[in-house]
Amino acid sequence: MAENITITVDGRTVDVPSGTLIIEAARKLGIEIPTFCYDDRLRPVGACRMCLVEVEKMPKLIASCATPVAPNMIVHTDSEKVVKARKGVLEFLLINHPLDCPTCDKGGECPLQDNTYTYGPAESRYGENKIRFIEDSKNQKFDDIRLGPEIFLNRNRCIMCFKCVRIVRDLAGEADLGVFQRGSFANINVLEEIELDDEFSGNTVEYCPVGALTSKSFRYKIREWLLKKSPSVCNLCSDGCNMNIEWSRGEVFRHMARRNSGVDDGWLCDRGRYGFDLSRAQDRLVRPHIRRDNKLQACSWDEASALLSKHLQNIIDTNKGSEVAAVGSPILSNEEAFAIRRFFSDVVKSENVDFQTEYPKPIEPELLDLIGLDGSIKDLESDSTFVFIGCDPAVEHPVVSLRIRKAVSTYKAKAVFISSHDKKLGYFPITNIRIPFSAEAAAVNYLVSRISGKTTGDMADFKIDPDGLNRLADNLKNAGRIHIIAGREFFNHPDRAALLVGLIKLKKSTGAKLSILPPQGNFIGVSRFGLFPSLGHSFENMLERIESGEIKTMFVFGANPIDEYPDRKYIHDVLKNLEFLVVVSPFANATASLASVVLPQAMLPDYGGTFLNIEHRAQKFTPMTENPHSDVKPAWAILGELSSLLDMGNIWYSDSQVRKVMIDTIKEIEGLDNLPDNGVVIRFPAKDGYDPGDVSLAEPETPGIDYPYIMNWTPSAHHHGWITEKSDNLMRISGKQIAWMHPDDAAREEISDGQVLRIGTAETALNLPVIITTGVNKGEILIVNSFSANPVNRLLKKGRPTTFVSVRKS
Amino acid sequence: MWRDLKSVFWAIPKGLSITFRYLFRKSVTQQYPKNKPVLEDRYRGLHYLTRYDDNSERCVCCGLCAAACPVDCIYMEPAETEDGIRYAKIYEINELRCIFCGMCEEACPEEAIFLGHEFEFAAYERDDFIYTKEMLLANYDNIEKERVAKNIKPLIRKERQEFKTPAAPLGH
Ligand code: SF4
Ligand code: SF4
Ligand code: SF4
Ligand code: SF4
Ligand code: FES
Repeated sequence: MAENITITVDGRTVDVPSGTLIIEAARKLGIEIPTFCYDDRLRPVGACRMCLVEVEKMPKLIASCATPVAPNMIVHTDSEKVVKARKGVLEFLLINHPLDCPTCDKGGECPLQDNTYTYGPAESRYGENKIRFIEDSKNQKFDDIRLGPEIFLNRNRCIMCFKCVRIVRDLAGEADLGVFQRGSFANINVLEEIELDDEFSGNTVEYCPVGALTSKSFRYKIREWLLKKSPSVCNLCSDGCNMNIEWSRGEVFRHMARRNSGVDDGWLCDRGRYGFDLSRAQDRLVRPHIRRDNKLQACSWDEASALLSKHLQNIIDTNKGSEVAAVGSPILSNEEAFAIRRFFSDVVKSENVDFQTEYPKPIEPELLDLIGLDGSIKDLESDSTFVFIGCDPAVEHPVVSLRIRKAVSTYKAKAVFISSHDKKLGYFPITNIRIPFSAEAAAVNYLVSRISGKTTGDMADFKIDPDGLNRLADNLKNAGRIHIIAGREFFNHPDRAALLVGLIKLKKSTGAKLSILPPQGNFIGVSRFGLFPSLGHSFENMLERIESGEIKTMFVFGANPIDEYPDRKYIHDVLKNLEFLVVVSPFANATASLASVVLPQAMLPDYGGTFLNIEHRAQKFTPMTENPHSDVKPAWAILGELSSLLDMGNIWYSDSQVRKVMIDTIKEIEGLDNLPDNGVVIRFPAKDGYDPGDVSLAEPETPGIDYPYIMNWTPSAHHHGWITEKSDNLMRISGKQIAWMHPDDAAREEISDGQVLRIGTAETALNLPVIITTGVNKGEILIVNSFSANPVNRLLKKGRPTTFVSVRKS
Repeated sequence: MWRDLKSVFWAIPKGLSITFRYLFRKSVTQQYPKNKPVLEDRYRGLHYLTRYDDNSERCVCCGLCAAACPVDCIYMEPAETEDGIRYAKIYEINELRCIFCGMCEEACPEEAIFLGHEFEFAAYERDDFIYTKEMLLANYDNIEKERVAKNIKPLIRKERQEFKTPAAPLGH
């Protein structure tokens, strides 16, 4: 531990560790020093000089944001000299500032306004012409330039604090923004051919201290003082970033970060930030629908619930609970998941619940304890070697990947990706070890044998080039604090059992931490609080039972199996066999169009509850208090109403009521009762020492002559799962579905970059533009998934997460 | 007793003396609507939204008038033109709720909103008192026509307040 240093600020002494900045010491005493360019998460640059303070025995004023404390320093933050200096700094900053606050988006929440009001001079003495950056010589009125699909920059307002540059460069590791020219002409810009559209670009807008950076979705929409804020938690991936939903008159205008230093540290990714328009999306379901004359027609809740309760009453009376199944999804809250389980086991007497509609195989119960982050999110910064297997943190866990980026860039940690296609963490140095698609299990087994010095099997079968793996194995032998992270591809892996065995062995032989991270929202919460099929059938079995006629009624909550289950035709046919399908969903979707009853479900700003993120942190989200969608309901309210109609108890009126019952039932979650703002990490007893035994590797498959390519898919940073497609903002940012292929394959097929291809099997095909890159393996085609126009699951066959395809120009 | 009586008899001539005094003075009652009242320059009546010389609206929908309004009678929704100029897509004043305090014109940084001299705007429906942007601009057009006809000097600056020419030509 560094020793403490005592300094005096404005006559009061404070004890701080050496290396602390003066500004932090002053803040500790509650003394506010005005700043523009300082941010405790970014490297100090001392660019704006707003934070000048006087230190005794120093001839000049110094920037408190860039000067560490020294023993016996005596600091004055409001001496005459400092006050005068602040006035001077502000006068200079405003020399070329347009002061067009009436049209400026930042007006009302602008640090430049606030600081000028508090510390600045009342008038400017500058009489010369201001410098103006005119972007377009024809359109003289418009000074904003477009940096990317979402971000606009008005360089006149910029005060050159370099926050945006530091966020993009040092934090995200993207080289987009830079400073051009010098002196008063210095300005922020991007190179002409570059778009600012990395997954963290929105943070620059939030943290810009002036209105220079604006985002298209919020520009000129509303004033800050008219917005009300509901503390909430993002559910578009499993990181669980804290945010404020800012709304007015029932309409959401933006998401802003709500800093939780244990989770997001005040950052949001663009998926979470710009996905705010989901609740008002066009496809939003706001009324119940019943199928009449083979058409879904809007009706009232009374009608819909009367129909449902009649149907359920019949089932209960004839004791046919086992003919009913319920499917949830990771978009549900913990309370909803719990209520669904309760309702179906207590009222309907059916244990058939599940939520894994997108995986070819259900996860094993033992695996449940291994899922989630090993250690806390904060701990990631101190890990020194990361091995990613089937995980793309930049896409699956954007904000948590910032911790990994920090470990790599600041603490010189190593990040190694074992994958069939290249991944990246911004421009930070990482190693990609390329293996053929779905050879992860073989590669991990190879690593284990190599590390424990056993003879390694023949890798030629799997077409793995062992060089990279050998080097990795040698490094792992000597590395401390290794963290093995598996992600989305693990869950979809064709040979998941073998991969899991390999991962556990690798963990044991290296003493590493092992995290298996599901990418979807509340995956861990719904699996822990009721939706895991511990007693009844898993989704896969349900489908078989539906085929054989054993299950006749199905309830779907927030899921969309038709768009997600890896065999579209099969699931479509199976669900058609159902006598009665009830879809509770926030959006109209392919599954809902088959249903007998469709009920509008509440989604994020409509209701309150809790989510569990990847580190098992339970966090609370609250609803907006005015909602134009009066007919949408969370699952617990729908089921509570049904049980009251059926006269069966289990009637719930609020999320806190459901939570009380949960706490009574599950003892680990006492903390859930009174959640603090930053949430509580719930410790489930770990069933350690899970030994899945030995599993032999599946033989690698070889493609046929007619279908020579193996197809693989990936989500994109702004779009993952069927829900984000409903957001116009996100579709504007990354609404293009593409495929990647290797240059050698392209040459053989005589395909050029950007050409639209027909990628398909004997029965069906997708038409997608292709990008030719060495980032994918020869003989493999990688497709961005989750676009309903070209769903990848149309090509897949039940039980297999991948398929062989042919490629033709279309 | 005597005192009370005296005051009763005395009260009548005393009161009447006031009546007679005013009878011969100049009347302050105005014969409205036959004769129109003379209003002071600072009289605050119906609002109007001003324009620049090129006929474009001055209001940029900054929201300050609505923020200053003590009775919350101004509603607006901003938007941007294709050129990227911020303007008021919706701008409405509920004149029934308005207390004609003039805070909005005080707050406006663009000299866009003013309270004029019009006070005769009765209507049969409550809804007719919601003045939209078009109505408020039309008010201005009438006032401006009259001003030009009577050749009165404009009270507000008519040209756009803009940056002076840039100090140096700039590329990227
Ligand atoms: S950045 Fe702040 S001071 Fe500058 S125009 Fe915008 S609101 Fe006004
Ligand atoms: S654009 Fe904003 S964040 Fe970037 S340097 Fe200018 S003032 Fe700072
Ligand atoms: S990282 Fe995940 S939880 Fe955080 S804002 Fe992005 S999508 Fe939401
Ligand atoms: S009238 Fe003036 S104060 Fe009101 S919104 Fe328009 S510009 Fe702003
Ligand atoms: S805050 Fe210290 S120089 Fe900008």
